[in-house]
Amino acid sequence: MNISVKPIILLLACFVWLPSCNDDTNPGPTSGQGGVPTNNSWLIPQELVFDGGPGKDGIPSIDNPAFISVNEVDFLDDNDLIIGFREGDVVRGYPHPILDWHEIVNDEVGNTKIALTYCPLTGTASGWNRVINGTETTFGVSGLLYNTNLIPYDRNTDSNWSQMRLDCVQGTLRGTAVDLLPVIETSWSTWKKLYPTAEVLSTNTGFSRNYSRYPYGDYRTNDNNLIFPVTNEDGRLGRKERVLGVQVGTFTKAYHIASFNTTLGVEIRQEALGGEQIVVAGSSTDNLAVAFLSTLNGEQLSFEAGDLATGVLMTDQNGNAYDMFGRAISGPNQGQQLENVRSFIGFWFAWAAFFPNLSL
Amino acid sequence: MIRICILLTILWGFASLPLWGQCCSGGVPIASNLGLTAKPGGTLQLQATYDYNNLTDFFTGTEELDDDTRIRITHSWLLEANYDFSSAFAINTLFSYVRQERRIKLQLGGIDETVNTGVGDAIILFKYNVFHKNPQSKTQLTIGVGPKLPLGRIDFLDNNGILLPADLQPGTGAWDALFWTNFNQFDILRPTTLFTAIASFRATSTALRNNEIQDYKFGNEFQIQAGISDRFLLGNKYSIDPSILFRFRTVEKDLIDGVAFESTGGTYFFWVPSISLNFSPTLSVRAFGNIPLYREVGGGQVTTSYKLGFSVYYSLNTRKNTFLNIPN
Repeated sequence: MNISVKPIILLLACFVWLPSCNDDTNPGPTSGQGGVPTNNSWLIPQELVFDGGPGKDGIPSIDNPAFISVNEVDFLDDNDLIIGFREGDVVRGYPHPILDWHEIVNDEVGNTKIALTYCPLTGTASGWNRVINGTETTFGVSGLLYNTNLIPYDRNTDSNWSQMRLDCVQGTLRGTAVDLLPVIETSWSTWKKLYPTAEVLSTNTGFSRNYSRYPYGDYRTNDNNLIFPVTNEDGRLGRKERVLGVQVGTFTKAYHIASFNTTLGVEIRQEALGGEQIVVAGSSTDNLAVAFLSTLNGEQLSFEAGDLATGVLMTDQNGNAYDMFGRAISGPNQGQQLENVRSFIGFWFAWAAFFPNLSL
Repeated sequence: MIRICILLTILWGFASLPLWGQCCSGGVPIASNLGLTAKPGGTLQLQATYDYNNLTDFFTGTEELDDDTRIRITHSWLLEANYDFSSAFAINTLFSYVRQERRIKLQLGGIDETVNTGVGDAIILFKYNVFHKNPQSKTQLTIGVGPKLPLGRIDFLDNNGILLPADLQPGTGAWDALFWTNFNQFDILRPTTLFTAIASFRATSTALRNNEIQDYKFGNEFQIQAGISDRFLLGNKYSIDPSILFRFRTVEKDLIDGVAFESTGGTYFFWVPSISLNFSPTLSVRAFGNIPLYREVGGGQVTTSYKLGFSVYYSLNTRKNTFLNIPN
């Protein structure tokens, strides 16, 4: 067969040459060149940490938040959820529809530097003190997930943190606990009635996003929709049922928000948990649940449900009335604050994944 | 009878097309680069292609967001070989090598970069010429069916030991079925004017991902590229073939454990300008682009801003012992 080999050589040479046009001589994957933590070992199983896809800062945190008044808000429906934080007389709300796209807001309220962290995949929100070991930092979205839960990173040390474990799981701050700042969560309809003078995070975030569009399809309601694997499953509730998880010492219990009696408005549950007396107030109507220690000034208090429409979550036997943040808004203890219990709301599957055999 | 059987097989594949699908972004373009047309028996065609897919535009639905913080680039090197056993039957193979890049502008400055390279998936396509081009007919129709072989790895880790996401792996890990057809109508305006259409449907299957804990299925994909080309002499030795093509591509959402993964899938419509320079009837080079005219994505995704490609084509007839003298 009389075949000219020159064209074939040209063809093959071209194919071989093209990949070598790139400056990367290392054929293996590389990443994280924005800064690699000095301590690369993880406190959590590394093989269960997944790259969510968008990458580090691919979901941008809001670092210069702007706020508007309640009556200026035109992008929320009554059933939309909002996270609330109170510092002194300043009350700020952070709506889920914005947090779905940003997951972290680095804010400053009064003298408190707070990172409002929110994971759309586990439905969990918590406030973190941004001052760590005396140094102020901001948090960003690492793009990594553990138990399908947000892993924020702090920008001072590039350490990775677990949002639901509430500690640093990789990097120079590994093992450091989060200084948790209490937040509450409820529906927009309830929030705007109770806090009409509150400041609400504006959609003027500095980023172009469609905040009227939920980016995860039917994820919030479809129990079969789980994007990443989890380490433990518990069939006592549907995966996406919302619960308030409460931790006292090593004891963890979940309170199913839908189980709070709808006819009562607010339902009060008082019990001993992990050696402490706590009170849990919840309302399925208002999509709300909060937990506090039930002692104040050394006195064991007995609570009754309040009229949330008037801003009173509960009252005690001494005639004190408390708001959603656990602050006495009237009565002999006016101005005092019930001590928060480590707690936050999230999807049931997430609490079951992080805390196997938790009580319900 | 054999024609009818093969035709029915192809029609069955197309019958399950999703007409509404959404799309995913940075896939390796192995199906869209299958384009070698039927030749006389004994012809071996070789084509090497470099494909550069720049995904910078951030979309939600049909809305483009003003955000240039994320860049995804897929470089693909494709080597395609087609051998016509006869005027009726041919086999076509395509092998790929892939470089996936993800760059994100960090909010405090700097770039976070993830790069992964490796051998990608491959295709073996068994082709049948339903209608031949001959002096009595200016119509050519070829159909094909075959598997996509999961040669590419799906378990690359980044340098922190974290498994890279599915779209940064060079392979899909799944055996897919590919249905392909090519229709050519010659001499439509001038003797050298050609109308061409290439359609393909990739029926995907499932692979175990995320430490083999979850079933992951890339969305089924349909695409069709059609348009006209013509040939003009360049001096008395060379010729050029400019073409105006349009490409429609629709991809269903990926499925994780059977449930749709929101930020995947989409529908695209591209303008595909292309020009070939023919050094001889058997050797040519081609440059092409993809310019998006319409994009609709599921959830929020970075999507194709543009594509560029370059290919080298060579053919020979192993039976005649001479170079072919057949227009491409």
